[in-house]
Amino acid sequence: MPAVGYLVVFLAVPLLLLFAFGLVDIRDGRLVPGSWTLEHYARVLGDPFYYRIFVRTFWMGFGATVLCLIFGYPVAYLFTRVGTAARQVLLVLILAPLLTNAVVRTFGWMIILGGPKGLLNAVLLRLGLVEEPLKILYTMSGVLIGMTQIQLPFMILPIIAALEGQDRSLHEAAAGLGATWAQTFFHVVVPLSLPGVLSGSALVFVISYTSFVIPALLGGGSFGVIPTFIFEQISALVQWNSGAVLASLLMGTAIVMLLLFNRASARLLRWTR
Amino acid sequence: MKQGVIVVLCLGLLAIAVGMPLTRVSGQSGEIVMISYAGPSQEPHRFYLVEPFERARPGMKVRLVPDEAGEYVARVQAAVAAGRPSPVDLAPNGEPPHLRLIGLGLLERTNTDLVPNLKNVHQAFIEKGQGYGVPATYSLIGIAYNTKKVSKPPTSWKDLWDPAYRGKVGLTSASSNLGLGFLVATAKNNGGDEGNLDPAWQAIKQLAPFVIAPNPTALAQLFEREEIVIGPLWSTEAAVLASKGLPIKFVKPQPGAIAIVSFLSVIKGTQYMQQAHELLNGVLSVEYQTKAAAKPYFFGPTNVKVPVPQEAAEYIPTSLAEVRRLQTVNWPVVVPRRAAIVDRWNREFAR
Repeated sequence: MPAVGYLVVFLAVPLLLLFAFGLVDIRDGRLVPGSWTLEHYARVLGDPFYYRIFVRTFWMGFGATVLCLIFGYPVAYLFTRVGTAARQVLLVLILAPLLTNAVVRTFGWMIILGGPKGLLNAVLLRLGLVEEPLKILYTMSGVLIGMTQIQLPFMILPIIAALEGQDRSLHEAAAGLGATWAQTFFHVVVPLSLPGVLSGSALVFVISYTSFVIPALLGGGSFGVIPTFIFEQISALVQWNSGAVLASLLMGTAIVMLLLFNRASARLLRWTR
Repeated sequence: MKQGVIVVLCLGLLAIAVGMPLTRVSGQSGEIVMISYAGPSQEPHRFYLVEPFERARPGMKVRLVPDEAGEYVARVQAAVAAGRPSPVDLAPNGEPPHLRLIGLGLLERTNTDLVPNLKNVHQAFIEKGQGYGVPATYSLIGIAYNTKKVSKPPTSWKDLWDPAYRGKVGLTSASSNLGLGFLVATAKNNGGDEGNLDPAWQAIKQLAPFVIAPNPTALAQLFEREEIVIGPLWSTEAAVLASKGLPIKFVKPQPGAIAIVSFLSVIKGTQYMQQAHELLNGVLSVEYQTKAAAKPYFFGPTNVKVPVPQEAAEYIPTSLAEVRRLQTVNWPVVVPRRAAIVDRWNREFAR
């Protein structure tokens, strides 16, 4: 009960206020009394520019989710197959990204990805794999590289949980019936780990879709996504109305996508019931 | 029933939250909060303004908060609208945000009786402040370039358009003073003016592909990473990069670098009127202005009694003739249209 009260006061009320800020006129930091209007929402929703920015924001979240899955699943699988000592090492490695602040880690990525002197370009040039330094910083690729590394734990941990819960005798049964390793993996291990994959994906998508620090630092001034626009509207321009509308729409779209995702997941997971 | 209880509880708490005059912790501990720059540019504030002030007034503390994007404005605005004391007491602002804050009613008028050092300040600078704040320093927007990558030193703003630098030019978003100043100067250098920025949009489009940093600090990082080799930059940022040993040089390009005055102002709702004015006086003192104009900061002095040191000649105009060549921007025309300009910038370049 105290937890509910806490959530109501510090989460629900501010969110409602945020939503409401998009429905009234705010001039010079003050509400204009009785100025209820849908104009601010209409302006943003009717603007193809914002539509494009929302699409880019979606691809950023989606791309990070897919990459986290590709890189995370093997790590999670490996984790369940090794001994205790190796597990401890792996766990530290998996959690390492969470031990430093996202801003610090992102600055690290700037040094690795940035410019011809950057570590990545230096290595590629030295190996003769590229002739000209690649332009990665301030592109979608740069943002996705940084994002994937930072969100990986949120994908790996739920998958580990799902893999750990599997009954090993099922794998043995499959092998005993003549299934190869690959057959067992794709027909037994992967389907049984779907709940972990799906919850990990939902987590990574929502965090990436609404991420501010990484696109701001690795995407730069020409990589506009909704979170960076919200920051600019409220901080640099003090346009509370537009900021509130964009923030509400960002949250609203995230919730809608989560609901759709949940519904699709429920279908995929019907067999678990 | 249960839901009803929660709704009532929620409304009650909201009423308390709105009605409660939140007393500020710092108000009781004698702490002044002053916005400052990030990185080494903050040092003049710390060493030559805050420390002497704290020594003279035991018990008073000044907390410097780095903020280059004006993030504090939204917080001050929220506090003032709610009738609470401002979370910030003093802030330096370039001309564009200075005018914007006057318009928003977030600055306190300067009580000139409490700032005797004002008598030594260039009258033209004081007038730009419109009665608010004090003109603390000025900086130039010119061209910074990497001396190892740029063989022919730029002399004119037009040199940015040299095809040799395609893809290596760095600009800053128009949401920063740097980006906005460059935009207006580009308009003026191409036949437009503050009221007609169209020539600037055309000219900047021809610079493509270029790199856009969200703020001047990020632009400086791009210089450091050699992601860019040339671009418009603050004289002070260029000086800091050069002092770190990077091969960065600053030029005041033809037909003139852009001078932007930075005003230190008392923020509306401060509880330290008297002390804040002492800091305004301190920032105009010969001691502060001399140190801030020296290596490696090179902030232009507004106090007529402070000579520009020879080592600063690259970053600050030293002669009257050079001062006359500086470009200024008629900010009162530009500032009211700032949100629209940033919107256009995003639509053109952040798609």
